[in-house]
Amino acid sequence: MRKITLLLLICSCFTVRAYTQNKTITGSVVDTSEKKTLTNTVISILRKADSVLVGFARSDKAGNFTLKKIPVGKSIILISHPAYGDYVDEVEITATSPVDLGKIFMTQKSQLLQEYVVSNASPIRIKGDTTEYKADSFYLKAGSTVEDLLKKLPGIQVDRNGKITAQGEAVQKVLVDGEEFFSDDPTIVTQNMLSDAIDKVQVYDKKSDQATFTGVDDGVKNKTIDLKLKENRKKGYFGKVEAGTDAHQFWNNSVMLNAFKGKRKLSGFGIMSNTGKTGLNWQESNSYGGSSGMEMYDDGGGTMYFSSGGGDDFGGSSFYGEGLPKSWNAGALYSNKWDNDKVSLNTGYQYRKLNTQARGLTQSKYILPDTLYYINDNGNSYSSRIRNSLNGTYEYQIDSSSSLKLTAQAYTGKSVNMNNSYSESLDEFGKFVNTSNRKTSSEADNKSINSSLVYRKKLKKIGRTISLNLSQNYTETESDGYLNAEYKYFDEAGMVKQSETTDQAKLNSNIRSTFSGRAVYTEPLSKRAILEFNYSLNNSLGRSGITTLEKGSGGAKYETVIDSLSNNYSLNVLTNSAGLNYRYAKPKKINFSFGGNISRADFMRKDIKADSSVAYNFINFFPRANVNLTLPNGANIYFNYNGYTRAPSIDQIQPIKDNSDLLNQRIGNPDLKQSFRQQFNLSYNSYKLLSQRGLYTSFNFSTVNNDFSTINFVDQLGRRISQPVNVQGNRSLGFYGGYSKKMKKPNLMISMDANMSSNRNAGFINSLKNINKSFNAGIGPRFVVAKDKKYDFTYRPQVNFTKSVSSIRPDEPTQYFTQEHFVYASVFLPLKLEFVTDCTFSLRQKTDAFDKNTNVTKWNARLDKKFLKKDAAILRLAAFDILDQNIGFQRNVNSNFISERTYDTFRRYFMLSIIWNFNKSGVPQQQ
Amino acid sequence: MNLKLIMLVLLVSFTTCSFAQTGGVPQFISKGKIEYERKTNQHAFMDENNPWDAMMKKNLPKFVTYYFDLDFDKSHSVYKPGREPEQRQNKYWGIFDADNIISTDLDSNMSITQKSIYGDTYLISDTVRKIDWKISTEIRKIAGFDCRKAVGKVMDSIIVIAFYTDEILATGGPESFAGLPGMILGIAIPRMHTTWYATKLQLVDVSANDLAAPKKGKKYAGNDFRSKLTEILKGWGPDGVRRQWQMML
Repeated sequence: MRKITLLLLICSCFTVRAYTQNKTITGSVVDTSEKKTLTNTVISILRKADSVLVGFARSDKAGNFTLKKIPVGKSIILISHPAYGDYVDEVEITATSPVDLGKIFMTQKSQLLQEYVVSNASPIRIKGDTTEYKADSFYLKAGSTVEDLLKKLPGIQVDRNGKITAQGEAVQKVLVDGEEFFSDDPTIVTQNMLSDAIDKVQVYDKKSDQATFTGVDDGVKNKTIDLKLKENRKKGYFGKVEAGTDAHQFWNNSVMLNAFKGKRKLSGFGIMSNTGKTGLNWQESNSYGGSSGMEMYDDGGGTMYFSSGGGDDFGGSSFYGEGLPKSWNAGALYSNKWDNDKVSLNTGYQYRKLNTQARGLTQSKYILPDTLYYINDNGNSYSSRIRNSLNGTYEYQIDSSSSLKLTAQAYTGKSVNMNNSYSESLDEFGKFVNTSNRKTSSEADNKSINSSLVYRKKLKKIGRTISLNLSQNYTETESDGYLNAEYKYFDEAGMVKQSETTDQAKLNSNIRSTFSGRAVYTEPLSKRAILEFNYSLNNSLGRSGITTLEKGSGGAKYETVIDSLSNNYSLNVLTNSAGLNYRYAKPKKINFSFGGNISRADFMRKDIKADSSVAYNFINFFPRANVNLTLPNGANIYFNYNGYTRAPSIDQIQPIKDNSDLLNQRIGNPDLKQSFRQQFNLSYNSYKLLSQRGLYTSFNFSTVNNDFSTINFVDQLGRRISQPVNVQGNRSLGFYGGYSKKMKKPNLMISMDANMSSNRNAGFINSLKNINKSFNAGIGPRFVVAKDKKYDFTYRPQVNFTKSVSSIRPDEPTQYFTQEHFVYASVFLPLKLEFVTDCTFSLRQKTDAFDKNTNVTKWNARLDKKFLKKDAAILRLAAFDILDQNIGFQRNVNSNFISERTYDTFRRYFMLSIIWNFNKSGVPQQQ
Repeated sequence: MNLKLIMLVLLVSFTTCSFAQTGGVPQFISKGKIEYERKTNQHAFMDENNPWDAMMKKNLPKFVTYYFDLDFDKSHSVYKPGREPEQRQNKYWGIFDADNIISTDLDSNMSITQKSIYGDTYLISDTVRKIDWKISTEIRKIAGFDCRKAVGKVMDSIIVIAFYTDEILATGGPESFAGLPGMILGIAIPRMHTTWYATKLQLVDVSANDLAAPKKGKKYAGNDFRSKLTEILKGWGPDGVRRQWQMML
């Protein structure tokens, strides 16, 4: 601005003379005082109407210049030279008259400067060198602009041309929230923005960019005004209502609302559904729910990490279990931020209830050295769970280098479970070996509270950081249950040779409380390398007790304690862990890290009733390394190694006696060693933007020393007794590859996925070692033809092959193919109609063990009609499983048994729904 | 310490060449090396009401800063990535994914750009972008030079604010910006929340080797490349529009 005040219009005597027919401007520049010619002076021609640059030239050694191809019309000539004041004048260029401007005299800035007077006004200082005005304390009419506001502020003047002077100096920059180039038109911020959007006006001297950069104060300071925007400018609400029914037995209803004012957010929702919706999905959770439990942190060296604080199986958005669920869900959330977002609070309450009715059949085939064995299990169950939960997160950004975060969650819940099952074991020839009929029921109360405190601090040296984490976790479960079972064992002739019945009540109580602390320190070794130290201490105290009661002689009440089946244990685990990691990163080239942790775990289990205890400890190792290489062609190669030892659990060493299933019993193994697992992963990814080709491959290999397996004794009565043992040589190998490519004509996206895995698993059967080798391979192309807002067709077939051979019966391999064909189509129709349909054909090859037909064609379709302004409402007619063929299906191929499970799941239903999205957004329009 | 000393020396040398107002003929610079600092306010791209973005905002710094070098003589310039930033820059997804080496022939107004996007390299020959610059009276000091402000528009609607200095004879600038009566030492693009500012100028001898055009990459003509990129990014939503602007700079 100072320079602008220096802008000098020299009215020197020049004349416009016409020589030839060219649109060319010529002339020369000369110093006023020294009368010498000026080389390299810039002569620019601007269009007068909008000051757009239409041509420029520099003067030659003699000070002469020639501007060619200058369009006709009114123009401005601007002549500038670093040491001279600007020369500006108007020139009219006509089609017929080339212009010679003759000699133009320039005046040195040093002479001009003498005439420049700096006026001084006494500034109002509030914080350091910053003067701050609170905008609301100055009365203004509605609709006033920022300029009107500035005029009211003491110490600030705005002249008729909009030029601002603060504290006697011309204001060089007007920033909005610290950003100079806030809008596309930076010059008119003050005249076009409404004053009620402004919270504070700050006036300060901004050092030059160079001084800021070098730290060397060059004395250049610019008077700057920074307009801080109000935070609560945004005010409004949005929400969603959905109601759906088949007018018979299915319903799916929900209401969601979020009202916001600035940073404050208040939201609530209610959902009731028996079509599988059990909570907010990802999108809804973003709008109406609390924090997603996702955590993000950086390692001090600039690499970002994500971790998700896992909820439990009761927190999902849709039902994945077996059976038919009915769910009720309601919640409320409050969140706010204060003090420039430095402090934030997020709290919520949620009620959940889920009732599930299920029925299923499992058929299993056991492979014994000399024979085969079949078990069929048929059962049904009912469960009801209720939970009330509260959660809160408080975050405090103490200063730019340190932060504190406190989170707490608590819930209380009730659950009821009922199970009836009938199971039969058959020998190779289909004759009964044993049968069981079991009925269990239980009612449980549970409580939990957990909290954590995280403190992070960045120290002065870049890359040097400290983080501390303290956490606590407490859970308590009390349950009362009943067990009724009848077991029958058969002889060769098919006659019952022995039978047992159980009729007991069981009172369980389980408490676990954990405290842990972790400290991490990172030290930069160089710009690229970082060393990380970590230490953690974890103490877990648990107590579990079970009291088994049976009916007294002749009585109907369960009152006699069965001593052998009642117990009271405490389990304490103390873990100390220390680790060291080295990380190196060279952007766009290579990233690698290696290191590991070593930890000692001390276990102590006390039998409180018998006053005895078992104590043992293990030292565990966790080595790891990874390399990420970016090739010159942009492809990425990633290698990862991970090793960890795992100590056997105390239950594997010495289990607590349990009679809930007499046909499956466990015994302990005090000689069990810890296992050591190593995983290797290698992947290669590349993507080409213009050809839209992607290639993704990955190999993984894992091997385990002293893996835990189980010896299964199948006794004379056909009971399965298992004991954990160590085995050698368990390993698995996997491959995945994917390729996708966009075809130009037709408009087709093709991709191909292939995967393969092979596993070797060692186990025991009747003390005989069995090695099971299994192999899986799958391949599936995918074809997509889509046009935005028009249509989308997808066809995705997938073929899988499974083979499993056990070493004790290599003559009895299991192998089968399964196929799945998925077809999807969506079409936008006139009258705001949209039709979507998909169909999945599942073909499962029958095997000797599984001769049931489990092929299913699942066909769904829906028709949507949009209406209201901005298509805010949708009327939807949907049909699920139109052919009424759906079944729950799962096939397992394990070391020495194969099983197939089918269970009840949703079958055909139709539903008519209305979905309405509404909103009122209070964001004021920026002019 | 050493660095500061060098900066100081550089500063002094700028001062002598640019503040030569006390009479005598100022030294006009016809070749050298300029370092630009590109600063992007990535918080501006994050939506407060999206929990993912809110988390990113909390964890990623407000500005990401990268450095670029421009070697130039009177008629040629080559713009390419410069020194590594002091601190590793944690960049939000999709902010300046393209790396450019741009060589410009300022006499013939032709440029050759080697663009690397997700590792793929393209070699694009094009004419220098024609911009209608509105010249203003505002002068600002950048890296010790008095620079005049000019406002222009690219890609139909993106406003570009440029600051150029008369004291450098070459008419180039950072990225593909050129065509003002001197060297562009500062560029601001509000819509991209990004500025490019020169931090220093070294009066070094620039050889023909330094000014050699890049040669690597799949060859494209400027228009073909742009229409292809537009076509592909059309399906990427509003995010794609932002990337498109950045990739076409």
